[in-house]
Order: sequence, then C-alpha cells, then structure tokens
Amino acid sequence: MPGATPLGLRYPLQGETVDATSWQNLAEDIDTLMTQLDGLRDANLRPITASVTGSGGSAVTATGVDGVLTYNLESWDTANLANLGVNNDRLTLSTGIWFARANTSFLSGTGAITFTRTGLLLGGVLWQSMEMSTATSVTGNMVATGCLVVTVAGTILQQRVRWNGAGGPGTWSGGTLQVYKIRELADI
Amino acid sequence: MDATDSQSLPFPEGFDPGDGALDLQVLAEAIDANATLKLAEFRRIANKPVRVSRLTGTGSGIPAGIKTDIFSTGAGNWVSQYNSPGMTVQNNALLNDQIGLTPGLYHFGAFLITNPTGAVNVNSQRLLTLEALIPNDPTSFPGTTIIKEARTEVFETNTGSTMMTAELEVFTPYPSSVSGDPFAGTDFNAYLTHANAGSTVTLLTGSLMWLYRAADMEG
Repeated sequence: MPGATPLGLRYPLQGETVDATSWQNLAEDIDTLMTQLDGLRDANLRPITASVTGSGGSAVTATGVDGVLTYNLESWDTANLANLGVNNDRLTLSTGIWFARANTSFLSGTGAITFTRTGLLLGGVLWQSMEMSTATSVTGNMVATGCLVVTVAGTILQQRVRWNGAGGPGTWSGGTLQVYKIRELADI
Repeated sequence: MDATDSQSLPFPEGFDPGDGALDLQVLAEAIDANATLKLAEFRRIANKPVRVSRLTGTGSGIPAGIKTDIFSTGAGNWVSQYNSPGMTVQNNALLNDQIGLTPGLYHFGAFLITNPTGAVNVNSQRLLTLEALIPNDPTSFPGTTIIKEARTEVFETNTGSTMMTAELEVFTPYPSSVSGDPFAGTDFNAYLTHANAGSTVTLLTGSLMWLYRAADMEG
C-alpha cells in the first residue's frame, strides 16, 4: 500500500519494493496534477471569448420600435458561442460571469434623430442598455455599451436597437457583439 | 541529495547510493508543495471577486440639480444578482463590501434607467457619474479623494425613460474596507444629476451596478 501526498501523489513506503509500478503511479499522478494546473492556467490566460459583426445593413426598424441586430461575420470564437448559419442574431453562453459589449453605427434612411439606443438582451429580456442623445436632433449616430452579465447554461445574448426621430424606417449597420468570460459562478 | 535549479525538485547525486522509496517520497512531497502554491495562485486569479446588483423597485425621487447617490436613492431595492463565493451579504450591500483586500485593477460600472415622476423638461440633462475614492491623509480624516472619475451624459428626448451606462477602471492598493479601520478601503460611488426642473426623477427596476477585480497590477 503506497503512501500519498496531500494532493494525491503516490510513493512507495519504506520497506516496499520500488518497481515499475511505483514509477508509473507517481508519473500518472503528476500527469493528473499537471492537467489540473493546465485547466486553471487556461482559465486565467485564455478566457472564453467571441466576437460577431454585421458587415452590412441589419434590423430595419421604424421609429420607436425595438429591433434585434444580425451578424454575418465571426471575428473570433474560442468556444462555439456563435453559430451564424443557424442563428445569426446571437451568442449562446455557458454558465458564468461575462463581460459583454455591443456597438452599432450609422442609421440610414431616417430624418432627424433624437436618440439611438443599443442594449443587451439576456434570454430575450433587456439586461442593460445605452443611448446616445443630444440636445438637438442629428442625422446619424453611433452607440456602444458594455456590462457584466450573469448567465446559466444556454443563455442567449442578443443586441437590441431602437431609435426615435423622423422618417424611416432606418437601417442599422456595423453591429458588433462581443463577450469574454470573467469567471465561473462557483470557485474552481 | 541534489535539487533542480528552478523548482528545487530533489534527486540523488551522482555517487548517492540512493534509497528508491525515500527518494520517490521526497520527490513526490516536493512536487506536492510546489503545485500547492501554484494551484492557490491560479485559483486566486481565476476566482475573481465579483458583485452584481440590480434594482428591483422604483427608487425615491431625485430633485433637479442635486448630485444624488444612486445606492441610497434605491436603498432597500438593490438585489444581488451575483456575489462571489465567500461574500456573505446578499442584498443592499455596497459594492466594495467584501470585495477583498488584494490590490489590483478594479472595474466598476452602472446602468441606470431614469424616468421623471411628473412634468418632463424636454432636452434636460441626465448625468451619471462614477467615482472611486480613497481616504485622505489621516491628518485630514474623514475626507476622501477622488482618484478616478467617469461620466456619461444624455438628454431627455420626451420619449419615456432615459437609459445610460458608465464604466470606470482604477488601480487601488486597498479595495475593500477593513472592519474597524476607517483609513482603509476604496469607495465606489455612482451619482445621478439631472436638470428636469419640472419634477423629480426616479430610478426604475432593472438599473444595474457591478464591480470586479479585473487584474493584478504586478508581474
């Protein structure tokens, strides 16, 4: 019966025969420990991240009406959060705490704009938003936002847009939705 | 018995007759001690302190022209969305409470949904201000000094609620307060100022605040 360190590294006790199995046991235990260290290192150095962008117009909306942007470019995705061929309007997140951000730019087809707004939907419900407004109406606007989001497995993250003003419907373009994982809900 | 240069892992020297069992035990224990330190450090970084709180009711009315703390305004209605394991306070906790004592880069943010309670002054200002404050020199206690500030300004467009978000990142050597020590800790405060003179403005359900340690500041 070999002894073991607190982390479970097995070693032969005094009087036991040191044989190939002794070496194999220790080597395999070290291997398991190194794999555990690799996992923690990856969590710290390579957090899960994804970014999708729409290269053309998206979400044609009338004034005062919410729309959801779509994307056609996957800039990066380290954990299959995006599947634009199936759903081109979302990232699907795993359980955890994430930093999410979104931006979009230039609303065409409208007259004077009083505000543009983009926000983050979690499971179809508004989680956070940001608007750009000025004391005077303008004819184009850009807006960006970002915040922490708390998710469970399969949470759908989407980018919502809304504008108010004259004319329309307006076409949004250059929408970008990005995330990276801050931590797991439970300690690892 | 000799040891490797970098990690000090022991091995028999050239003319050491060796004791197979003891040599393996010493090596296993050395690896164990080394890995224990690495696991603790990796876990400390991976398990970042995070606090996310959400307003679940309408806050009290904020008069025009008064820089008003949004936490006290929404007191009683800030419900925890997430607290890192080990934080015991759940709801209505100031964000820096129990965030930890580890120096580092901290990220603070707030999202506000505001709405006038009565008359609306079109194009009136809504200003969200985030501040990180540390205590002054003890000789001037209890004053504090703002070490970093961020602002977002929007204007009421007479279309209902107004939304705004601001973020702040700041290095602080002492992020959390220590019980009984009035000179430690960093205050992360968020304020709303508005110019809707026709009526007070309230914060609505869904307003959000968050704080987390983004990174260490030493290599």
